[in-house]
Amino acid sequence: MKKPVVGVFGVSGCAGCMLTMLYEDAFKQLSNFLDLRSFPLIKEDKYTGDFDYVFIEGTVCSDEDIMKLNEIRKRTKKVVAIGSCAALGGVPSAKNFLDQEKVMKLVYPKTNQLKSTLPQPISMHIKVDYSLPQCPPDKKEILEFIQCILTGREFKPYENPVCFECRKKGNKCLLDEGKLCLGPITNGGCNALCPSNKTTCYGCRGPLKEANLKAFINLLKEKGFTKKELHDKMRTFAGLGFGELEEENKTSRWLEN
Amino acid sequence: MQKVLKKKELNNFIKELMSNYEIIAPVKNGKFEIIKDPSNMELGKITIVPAKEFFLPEGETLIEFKGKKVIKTHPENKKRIIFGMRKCDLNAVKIMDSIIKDENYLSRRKNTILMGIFCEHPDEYCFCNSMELEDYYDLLFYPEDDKYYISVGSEKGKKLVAKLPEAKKEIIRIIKNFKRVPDKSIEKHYRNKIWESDANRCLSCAACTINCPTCTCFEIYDELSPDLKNGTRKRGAASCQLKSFSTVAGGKAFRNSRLARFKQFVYHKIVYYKKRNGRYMCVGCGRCLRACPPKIDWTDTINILTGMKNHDAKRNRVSAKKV
Ligand code: SF4
Ligand code: SF4
Ligand code: SF4
Ligand code: SF4
Ligand code: SF4
Repeated sequence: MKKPVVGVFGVSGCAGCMLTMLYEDAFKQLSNFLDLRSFPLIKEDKYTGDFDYVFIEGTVCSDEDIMKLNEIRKRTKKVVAIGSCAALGGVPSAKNFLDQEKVMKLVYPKTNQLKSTLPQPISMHIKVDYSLPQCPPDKKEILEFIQCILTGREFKPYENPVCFECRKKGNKCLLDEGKLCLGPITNGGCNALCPSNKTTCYGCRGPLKEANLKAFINLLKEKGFTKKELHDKMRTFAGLGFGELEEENKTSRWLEN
Repeated sequence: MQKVLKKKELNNFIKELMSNYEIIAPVKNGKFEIIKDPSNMELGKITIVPAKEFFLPEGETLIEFKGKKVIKTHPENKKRIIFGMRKCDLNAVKIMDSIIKDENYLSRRKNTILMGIFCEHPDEYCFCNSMELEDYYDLLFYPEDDKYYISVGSEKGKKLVAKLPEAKKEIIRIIKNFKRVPDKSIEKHYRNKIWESDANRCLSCAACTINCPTCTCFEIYDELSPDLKNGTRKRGAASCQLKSFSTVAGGKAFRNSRLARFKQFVYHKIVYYKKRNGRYMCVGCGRCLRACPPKIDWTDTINILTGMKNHDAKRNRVSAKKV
């Protein structure tokens, strides 16, 4: 079998996703089976041909990012968004919910040359074939994905709530302890990483397709949480990820009364 | 004839058993665990998580494959005693026995002695008396004053207490429940709208099935080694509350609606299993109710459907909310 041609790229990100791939021994082993042509942290980027698979990390934050994405998309069969930034907007997306002018002045008080656009997930600009969100991404899932490429199996995204894995581990539910945990509305696959370490889920793997947001909001209201607390949490790591769900269920209005 | 053991001798009794058996007992964090020190036991309260993981461990390996060779793995076959299960948990094991028949389960089951304890403090969620439970144990400890009166249910159990003195009187106690589900004839109510009010509040989080001591649904999956040569086939819990559970090749989900999934839980426990096996699949431990984040109580719904006197159903609801 011909080795699949693979590239790893980043738009505006922290390189955390790439580091996750790099520091995993299993990835090094698997990369023997790949024709790895571009990987900014380990290889200079001189290749100009086409790719079978490209992994992209980071949020789209500038016109240069958009140009880069379009260029990669043209040369690539399957684009994989890795990490919460690329897949959902991630932490940088907080800017979407704030006063743009103020943010610019706060972050770059001395310069007026930086031109950042509204931070967005890459799917808002190019077609994305697969998404592997999580901040930082799950090593096991990346490996599984690569194994699927190599063995010709269809990659099946995880589609159960974080709670499912959390309960299977026998954790005490943080909601019962009066904490706002997004487990019930968040897509799992992280093996309930945060609740297993006694911190609430921030939804970094994005919304669960089957989420019952209405019921979840009612429960939060009963427990005395506010709209702001819910929104802050939903928007911390998932960025714009919960946007669709919010819109569909009109959360914004829901929590007001 | 019952045997007697002074309460203050219990820890020594358990300690002695440790030389031949692994001891599993409830501990402070609301779970059953393998214990090394009997003073860590917490026998007063029902655990949040049942003991089923000791029969169906999450992610257990069923087979390994090395290249093209398939290697059957065998479960650990340590002799062990589970102490501190209550009547509900003990009955749950009997129900699991009727469902799971593979070698791994059977071997663990065969090597496990059930040393139960009488449940002195049922809480607001318990309704075991409504579920027609039977006596099922190797040994059962009845606390009374400063002693335990121990009923013997099997030869295996008998051997463990052979050295203990015989009791001069017999102590058999009946569990007190606050909650009741007297009439469970819900088959004809399957299409009743009332189930929608429960399903609308349901998060489909699967806490109910995962914490239920008789839910045994599982999925099987493979994990490959990084060199793609070897792998393991594993088994882990599944749940009918998840859409993925009834999704088949091609993407069709047979229980697409939350309502159908919610009802599956109740009807499996109360109707379907009973038709085949002559008893309820629910043992009334209340774990599904305790674990449910929005505290949906399907036993209330049954009581309303079967016309339990309104004020009784309401009282049940109020007492269930108190905890
Ligand atoms: S702690 Fe969070 S993830 Fe775990 S069961 Fe509770 S709500 Fe779900
Ligand atoms: S528990 Fe939630 S926040 Fe934590 S890794 Fe999983 S999805 Fe992300
Ligand atoms: S259905 Fe609920 S009450 Fe019945 S055995 Fe399961 S967890 Fe216990
Ligand atoms: S209630 Fe659901 S998860 Fe539990 S045994 Fe039945 S079908 Fe399986
Ligand atoms: S625990 Fe409650 S909310 Fe979660 S799936 Fe079961 S009934 Fe629904």
